[in-house]
Parts: sequence; structure tokens; C-alpha cells
Amino acid sequence: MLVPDVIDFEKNVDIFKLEKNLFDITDFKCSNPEYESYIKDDAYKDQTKFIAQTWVFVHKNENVIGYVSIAMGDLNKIQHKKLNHFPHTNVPGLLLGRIATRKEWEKHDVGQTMVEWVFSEAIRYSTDVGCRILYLNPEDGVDTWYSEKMKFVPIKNKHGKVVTMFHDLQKYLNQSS
Amino acid sequence: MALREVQPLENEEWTQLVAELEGNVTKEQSKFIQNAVENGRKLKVHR
Repeated sequence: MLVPDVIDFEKNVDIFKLEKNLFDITDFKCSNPEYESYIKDDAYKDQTKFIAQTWVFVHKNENVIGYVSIAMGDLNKIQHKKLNHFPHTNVPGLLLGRIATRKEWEKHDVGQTMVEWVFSEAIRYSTDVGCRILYLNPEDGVDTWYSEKMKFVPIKNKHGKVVTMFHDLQKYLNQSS
Repeated sequence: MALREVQPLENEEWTQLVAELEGNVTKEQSKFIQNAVENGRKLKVHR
């Protein structure tokens, strides 16, 4: 598999809903073995049960270079002071679930591009369904990337561990309305 | 200071809160989301 130095995402990458046998994912490898087995064994099952929907990012209609699973969810407003002002107990949002980049394609902004696409999806839902935040529950060691590079706000547990991170989409929605 | 008495904040959180009140963080995050959404919308999705 030839990995280009720079990926032209707009021109060469397409996004498809995960489907059985549409693209070969049998050799998909990523840095997290759990996420590797998820796309191979569980993602399609979750999809058919409407628990999560998985989208694959495909380079030149051939190589699956990453995937992201999304689902509807919410955060309780007491989880962070920035959510305290919400009029209802739960703040509706889009959960950025599992996300993984194919190992050979790491360090090519695939992860960032997938997250950016999820942002655009969340904004899309926010006017049709009601989706005020985009949030995720980070695995160990990735919260710094999400806070520094993707500007997510961390929510820590009482031990200081980041357990959830979110973006309030109103910052965008107010500007664009 | 009243807020600090009601809900104790770590130093870094306090600094961040002040920055937000002054608009810095909010502006940065707004700009970030705007760029992200613009980039995300450029991608081809097969629904």
C-alpha cells in the first residue's frame, strides 16, 4: 500500500457507511487492538442494532484509511460548570465514539479530518434534531490531543482523570444563524 | 471572588475562566469549530 506524503482529502477521500464486503477491512490495523477488532467484529452489529453508526474513510475508492463511529447521547449539566446554565437536566449531543486511523496512514491528519467531519455532522443534526454539544469519552493518553489540537473542554473525575470532553456548538451556531 | 467561594476552582481552571470571561478562549473555540465545519463539509459523503 503506497501512502502519499500528503493526502488530498477533498479529492481522494470518500466517506461511506460501513457495509459488509463493500471494502476490505480484514487487514485493517491501528494502534489500539480493541479498536481494530471493533471495526472487524462489532461495528456492523452495533449498526444493525442502531446503537452506533460507523463511517469509513476510503482513499481512492480502495483503502480504508480510518473509521469513526457516532451515536446520539447527552451529558448531564452538572458535569461541567459550562453546562450549568442549560434549562434542562441533560444536554443533547452527538457522541464521537470509536475512531481509528489505519496504522500506515497515521501522521497524515486522518484523525483530525475525521473529527472535523464529525463536527460538520453535529452541526447538521443540531438544526434538524437538537444537538447542542459534540462529546467523547477519551481513551487513556489521547485527551491532550483533543484538548490542545481539537480544543475540546475536558471533564475530570474526582481523581483528576479526564473522562469526558466536549465542545459547545452554540459558539458556531450563533455565528452562522 | 464570590464564584470562587461558591465553587472552588483549581488555579488553571480559574485562569481559564478569566480568559473565557475576557473572550479569548471563546473566540478561539468559535474559530476552531468554524474551520472544522468548513473542512468537514468539503468531504464527499455517500449516504
